Amino acid sequence: MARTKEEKAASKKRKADDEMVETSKKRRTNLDDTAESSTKKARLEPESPIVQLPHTPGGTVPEKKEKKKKRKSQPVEADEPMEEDKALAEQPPPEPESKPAASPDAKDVDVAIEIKEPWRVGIKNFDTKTKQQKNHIQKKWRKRVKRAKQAASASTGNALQKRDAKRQIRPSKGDAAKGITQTSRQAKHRLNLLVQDVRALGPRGLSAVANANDKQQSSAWSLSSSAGGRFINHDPIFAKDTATGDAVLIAATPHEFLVLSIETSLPLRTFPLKRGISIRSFCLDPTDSENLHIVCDNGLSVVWRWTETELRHQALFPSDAQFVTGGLAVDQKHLVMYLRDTEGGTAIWTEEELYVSAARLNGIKILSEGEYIVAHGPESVVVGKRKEVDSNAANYVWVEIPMKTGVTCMDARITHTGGTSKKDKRHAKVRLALGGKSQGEIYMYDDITSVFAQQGQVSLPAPRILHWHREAVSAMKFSLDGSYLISGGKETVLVLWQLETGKKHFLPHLTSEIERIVVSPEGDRYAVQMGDNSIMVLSTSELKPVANFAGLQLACPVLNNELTSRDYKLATTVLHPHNSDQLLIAVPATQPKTASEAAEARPFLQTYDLRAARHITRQALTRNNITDFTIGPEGTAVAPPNLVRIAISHDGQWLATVDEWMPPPSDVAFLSDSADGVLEERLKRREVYLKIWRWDEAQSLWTLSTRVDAPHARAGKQTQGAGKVFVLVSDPVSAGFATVGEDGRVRIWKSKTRVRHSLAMTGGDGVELKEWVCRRTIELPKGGDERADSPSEVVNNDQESLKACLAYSEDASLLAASFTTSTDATTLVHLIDASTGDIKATKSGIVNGSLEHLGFLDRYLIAVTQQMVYTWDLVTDHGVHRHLISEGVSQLSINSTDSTFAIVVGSEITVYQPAESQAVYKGDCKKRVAATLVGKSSKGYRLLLEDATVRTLAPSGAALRRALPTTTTAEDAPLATLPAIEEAERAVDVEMTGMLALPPAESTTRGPVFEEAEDDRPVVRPEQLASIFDVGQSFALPPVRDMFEAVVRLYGRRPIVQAAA
Amino acid sequence: MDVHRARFVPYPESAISALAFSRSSDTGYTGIPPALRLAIGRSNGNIEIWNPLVGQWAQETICLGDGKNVDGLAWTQDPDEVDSEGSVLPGQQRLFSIASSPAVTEWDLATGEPKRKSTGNFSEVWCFAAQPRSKTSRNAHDEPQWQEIVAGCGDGTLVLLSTADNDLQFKRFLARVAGKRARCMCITYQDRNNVVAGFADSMIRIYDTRNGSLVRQMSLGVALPGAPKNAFAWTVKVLPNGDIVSGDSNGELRIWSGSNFSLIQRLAGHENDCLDLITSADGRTILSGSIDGRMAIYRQSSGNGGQKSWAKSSHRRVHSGEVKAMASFDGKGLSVVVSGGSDSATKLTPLREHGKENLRSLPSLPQEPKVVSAPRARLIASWWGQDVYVWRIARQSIVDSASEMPKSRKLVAKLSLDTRHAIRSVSLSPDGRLLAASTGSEIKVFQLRKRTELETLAVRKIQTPDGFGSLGARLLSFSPDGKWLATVTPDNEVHVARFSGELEQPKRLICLPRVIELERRQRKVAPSTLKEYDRTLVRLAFATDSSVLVAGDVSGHMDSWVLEGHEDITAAAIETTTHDSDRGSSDDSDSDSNDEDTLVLFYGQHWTDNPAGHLLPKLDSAPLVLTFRPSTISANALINGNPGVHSTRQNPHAHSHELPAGHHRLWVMTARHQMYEFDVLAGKLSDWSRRNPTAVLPNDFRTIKDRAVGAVWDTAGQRERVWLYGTTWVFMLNVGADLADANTMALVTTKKRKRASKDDKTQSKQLKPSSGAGDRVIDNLSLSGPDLIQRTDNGQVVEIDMNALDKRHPAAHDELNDADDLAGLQLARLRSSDNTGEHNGQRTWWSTFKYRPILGMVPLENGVHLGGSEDDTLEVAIVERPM
Repeated sequence: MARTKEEKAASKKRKADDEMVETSKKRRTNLDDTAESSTKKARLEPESPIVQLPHTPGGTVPEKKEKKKKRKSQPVEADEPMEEDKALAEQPPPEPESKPAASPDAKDVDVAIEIKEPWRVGIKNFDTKTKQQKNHIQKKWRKRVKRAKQAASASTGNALQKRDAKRQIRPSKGDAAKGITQTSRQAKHRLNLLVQDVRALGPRGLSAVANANDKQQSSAWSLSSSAGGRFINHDPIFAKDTATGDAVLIAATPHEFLVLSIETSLPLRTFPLKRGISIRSFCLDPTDSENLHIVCDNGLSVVWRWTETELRHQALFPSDAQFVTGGLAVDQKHLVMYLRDTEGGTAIWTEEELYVSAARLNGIKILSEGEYIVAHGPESVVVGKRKEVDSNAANYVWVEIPMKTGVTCMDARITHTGGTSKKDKRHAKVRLALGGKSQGEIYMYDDITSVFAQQGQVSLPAPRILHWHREAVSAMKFSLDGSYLISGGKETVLVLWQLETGKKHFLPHLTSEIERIVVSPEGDRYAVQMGDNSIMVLSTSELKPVANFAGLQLACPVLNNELTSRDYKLATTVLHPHNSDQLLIAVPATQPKTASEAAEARPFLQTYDLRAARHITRQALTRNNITDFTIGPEGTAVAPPNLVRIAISHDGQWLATVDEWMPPPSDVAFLSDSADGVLEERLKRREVYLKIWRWDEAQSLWTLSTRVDAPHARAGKQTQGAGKVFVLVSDPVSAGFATVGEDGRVRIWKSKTRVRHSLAMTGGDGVELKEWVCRRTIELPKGGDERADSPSEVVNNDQESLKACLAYSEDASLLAASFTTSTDATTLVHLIDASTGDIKATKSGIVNGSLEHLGFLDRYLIAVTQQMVYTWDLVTDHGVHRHLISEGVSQLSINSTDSTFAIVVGSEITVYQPAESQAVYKGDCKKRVAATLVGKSSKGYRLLLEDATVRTLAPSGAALRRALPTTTTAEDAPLATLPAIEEAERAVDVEMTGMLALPPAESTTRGPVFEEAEDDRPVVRPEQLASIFDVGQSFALPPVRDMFEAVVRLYGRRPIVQAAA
Repeated sequence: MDVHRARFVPYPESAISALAFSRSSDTGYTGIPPALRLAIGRSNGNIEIWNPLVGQWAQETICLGDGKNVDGLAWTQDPDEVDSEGSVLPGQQRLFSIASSPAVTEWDLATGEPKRKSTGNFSEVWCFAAQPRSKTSRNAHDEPQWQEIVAGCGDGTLVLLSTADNDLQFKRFLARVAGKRARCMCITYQDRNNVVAGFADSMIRIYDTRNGSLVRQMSLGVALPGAPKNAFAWTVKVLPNGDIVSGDSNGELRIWSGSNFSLIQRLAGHENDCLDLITSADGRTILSGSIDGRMAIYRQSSGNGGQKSWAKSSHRRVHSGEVKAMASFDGKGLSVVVSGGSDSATKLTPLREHGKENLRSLPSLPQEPKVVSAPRARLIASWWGQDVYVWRIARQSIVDSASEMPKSRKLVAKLSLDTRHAIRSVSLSPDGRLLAASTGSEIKVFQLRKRTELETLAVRKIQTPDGFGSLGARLLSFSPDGKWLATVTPDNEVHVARFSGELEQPKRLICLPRVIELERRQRKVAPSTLKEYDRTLVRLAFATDSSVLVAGDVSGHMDSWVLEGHEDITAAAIETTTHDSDRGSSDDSDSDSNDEDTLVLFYGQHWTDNPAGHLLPKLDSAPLVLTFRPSTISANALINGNPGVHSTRQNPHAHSHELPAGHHRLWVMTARHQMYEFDVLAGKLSDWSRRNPTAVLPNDFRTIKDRAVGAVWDTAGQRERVWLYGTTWVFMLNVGADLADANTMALVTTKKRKRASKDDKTQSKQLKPSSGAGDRVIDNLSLSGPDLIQRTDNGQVVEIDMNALDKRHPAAHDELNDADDLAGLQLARLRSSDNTGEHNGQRTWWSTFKYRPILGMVPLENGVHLGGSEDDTLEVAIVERPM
């Protein structure tokens, strides 16, 4: 397809988008020249069918003022005529049109607030300027940006200067937003062109278009493309990099290919696909091992020259293949076979359809230059035998063998019993090993060629049964010489069967379930893909690990049988305060395959480096039985405790965790005949532990310091069982934690030195031993207007009806807590003095409805209910804003560094600033967000998506945290994207520089444009304060109220406005 | 029916320690192959003889041992003889055993007693083996080649014994292996000359029996760490091609070349000791059993480069304890592996159809009920070893009404007999006054009397006539009126003794001093390799009026006798008269009968041959249930007097020859579960039996695999029901009416086959005769390959039935046809909607598997109202053996 001018421009623009904020053509000169350099690169990949759509939204939604929401453009539909867009693009100020992105209700709410908040009027007036004025302001603003940038880049460390620059910029923020709106128009136009390109690719291109649509909403905030993710359930491929001679392993996550170096255990390069397309299957070209055949879920079939990142487009044939495998044909031609689902069955294809099976097939193997082809499905095995050696490929006899025992995995092997001459090949023996479904048997058919015998002599000799596994075998392969069979499954044991003697060798106690086993072509290595999202490469001779590639072990949700997506579990995770790239996350032993309590429990703590995308450590925090026999006497799985809360102290030295465990229903079912009764019996036996761990630097692991059994009692004066811990928060300034539980109490936990004989105990290294105690217990008062007909004595076991929130203020002086039951008519928010434990104030009017989350940001208290987000100014004791949010499980995370807070509901993320009535950013990640994380002193948010990918939402000024060039290329990839990396060496270099060049502190200097949150506070000189306080003797002081207001006048900005009003 | 579940009878079960088939396959025999029997040796010294009956597995007899563990069993067959007419008389099959002693015992199967023992100057025999039989020579002048027996002893000695001339003689020492650990663990013949013996010093040695030279020794190497240093060769077997297979204490199977004795292959079969193994007749399958109860199957296949290699195919836990002994028969109709161990259950594993057929378990309880009852006295008796236990069962009404809950049962007598041998049989008279117990060499009769003050019984030994008490008996039976005791001696003679009250003290019972022997009918039978064993009487039954006695033997023949005349209390107790020439004993040629021409009358009655006895046909197999249908009319109602018989001049001792009146219908269930009813005095099938052949038995009954053990009649009210039971089941048949309606009957009688094309197939598949073990495995559980595969060639789809191969297999084809008949019959039954057992508003049958394992089921009577009113129900005690 010929490239249009617009497309070129779009590609350029997109490059720039990723580097910085949305840019207009005019502005581009002011920005990094990386955009210029990248255009050249972008030009190289025009023909690619895989179109990387801009993950960074091209449009912009700078809805910062109420007025603007009327002008805000509707998200442009893909089918919108081009001309209209062009017209829009020519007129820089957007036409006022259409509804806001939020629901109509939001508008009403906002209006209501306007009336309430008179101090906003001034701002509104500021907004209602004419277009000409705006253009003028824009120009002015741009100049200032330039100036500010120069000042910043001087980087003399003169903080004052920087701050001044920012101050100058701040008032013109609104103008900037308008400029952005304009550029977003143009971007949309480009996008439409692109959409047409995509559509031309085929029917499946539409999925890409759908993705493109959600890019319309954009702002100064940008959402990075996703990185990481789980390895797909497909055999990784051993390959050799011809350039360097390095042994590599090619594996894939749904979105990208990874070329993993076995020598260094590091990814050499990655190859991201455009979003919305997942990789299904891949195989090496049998003749040219540098070509990788790829089958995607939208039916695309492409060839990637993985050594050179060159992408060749192959015929889309068959257009909807499910599985691909390669083998050498007899005439040395490559033989690539596909499986394609047909109605009720599966077809085997090469260049033409070879066979259509009545049963579903999900794997295929080519033996001995295509002499035999073995495919398997869950219930059957299909074997094809080529009739004549020299005839064409399609000349096969097929036998379909139903397997009553079920097939979970298959491997086949051919041996020629005669000599090596072609004649004797007729006496080939095909050995087939199948994993049975039920009890873990492996059925090994010594020779299945007898099914091709003459009519009447067809037979299938009884298989050998290799039975060691307790549960169905997940993976199984013959060794290279065929004398061993290697199998693995849920038992976390690699079993090596010596077929000749029947002896077994074991490699036990692997970290997780074995999902895939691959034998390297040389036979010297096994690659074992495990359920904890890792691939381990073992040497065959010593069974020692050679390399290990581990990803994020986040428990991906399991769809249960009804295929309804249940209320997904949020990840229990926290970022390390010192290194905001280090993620501490509660993970299961193995990716759950069933939605059972046992499978989904998360007893482990994984430490994961988000920046380098590397696994650091894994540590068990509760009892677990990953390598034990986990089936109870009743056949139910034994569930380990589930880690439900996690918090880390401000200095990173202490980790607090809460884990829960209940006996399975079958254990107590005999005690009660009703479901409620059983639940009650289980609750009576629930175990909840608060564990506090100390970081042991020497061993680099968390060592248990204190275990608190049942930190909270159960609700409703139940004495048996332990109560749930609803919230666990960490003291932001000192080592301490606070919890609120279902008994309606807030407990503050502090450490104290262990004393014996009135002497401080010291550990082996002379460090004073600490133990943790409950320093304060605060009983939260019940909600005021309790209904008379609901006596408090009534035992309320309904867990859902109890809600509790707890938050520390930034200086740890205040604790906001709320505890609501379904009987409470009003929701009370208690403000607790964190040091004394006194309830300083109890507010009732902050929210309506039961509270989900609470948080402090600056002087604002942010309260989240099911429907609304409330921003409450604590100083003025007034509500500031209300924002409607969509229904669902919400998450609140607060970034004090850039003074924003983010609400995540499902896959939608909205970023607000407390002072702004409109969202700063709205976006949809398409995948549900399992956790929203905020690093200390870093801007933006880290989003952990449910498919174990990580995305970063950051204001465009903030440096993108992704330093690994392999992944940044994903972000930077232009329209027709390709990884920007040519050589592995360079990748490493860039990685190094990336790491070094982007210390967290520097990030503040990079983007001064919207940095008002960074150093928002006015500079208060000591003499100013002195002028308030040093007025005379204490008895002569003015009233405290006056003094307070004077201080507030110094520090707070808005109250001044209000006061003026 | 009121059921007392009696679980207090602590009948001991004993582990299986040895197993042997009388032959291992059909090959190597010309003409009719010798009889097939399975001998099961148990740890209490008993040897059970089972008849496989092409997969129906009936226990025929039990040879009671002396309590010593049977360590090994072996069968031999004497050389065939050619008689004067040139026809070949097959040689006799003989059974030998060893039992932790320096002796090899030969058993007399006909009597069930040890025949002879061969001891010598060697230590206890650990293992022994019989020489393979030489090919039968047609030439009568050849020296008959008797099989030798080689025994391996605990001191490392190998002994050769000769069975020549129907004897068991020490022949010579074959070898003496020195050394402390040189215990011979296992031994077998490689061919007729070479002996392979495994020793405890981890050696396998080959000896030539002709010159005693050590041909070769092979080492098993050291044992696994933790075990004693030497690996034990627990078992050695020889494949048909001469290769040697050994199973050792490392759980390994080793295959050694039969020609150069080099190790061919090692197979890790078990995690524990491999105790025994068997090979199939074609030598392509091996099964081994281990100490953990698992049995593994190994198959031969062509490995790399075309050479044959063995591989373990699968294993399965068969026994809950160890697998101590295994035996296999791999023939045409039957291809099965029998295994036994400490869990005392015999398990049948299909050999040829391994994986396609289910396992089966044979009952470990005796097939002959070890429980008897005196219904009127509410006593039940059980026995084992030298002890007899008698319990009284309380009446249900008393138990219910009494406030203080008296014990529902009470041990009222325990008799410990002062005998050397174990008790073989016990009988109680229905009134509970007499108890007879017998061993192989003694018969003892006791009178039981209720004590006035105590609940226990007073036991008084009754003097028996000389000779009678020392006869010994394998079967005992009191007649229903308690006057007669019929005994079957170990030599299978039938004797009858008469009991009556003393003149002075009518309550004091005595045995009349004369005991008569009832002659068995001589029959012309085909020559059998088991010889006299076929004449072994296994069941004995009196008619309800005590006037007819029937005995059935292993081969299915029945002998019957009738009591002629009328009881005359006034007559002399014993009268002897000459035999009337016109009556009875037609071709009496039994020489050892000393009173062939005298007739002994007891109170005017005498026993004689059933005149219609020769008309009773031979049953298809041994009878398991012999019982007379209770007749409602009492035939000989005369209390006194001797009507119409007076002394005349010609006949001074006049006595009546009147046959007992009324129907004497004998209800028979055979080992093949064939059902007959004979009118014994008429010598023909009864009308009911003609209308109700075996084929009308409900399908639920036909699918029962365990054989019937006994039967109890329920005649209360107007009912005529027979309650049959086996060790695992109880089955009621309403024999008062026809079991099936007229339609079905017509189908059965005319054998009209109505084939339904498709839906019938499944049923016929189920009924396909198995190879001797369980039924075919249901499809989705089958470990075997698929039934149907689909082949596509050039677009042509062909469906290939994998079972087509099986059809070519030489299965018993006639039985298959039978099965087809039955399929049609069942279909007809389905059509007549009679599957529930409802017929004419009355249940025709009912079954339960609730009670298990059943040692016996015996009737009890309420005693209060004997009248048999309408609401009177049958009361039985089901004696279960608590597990």
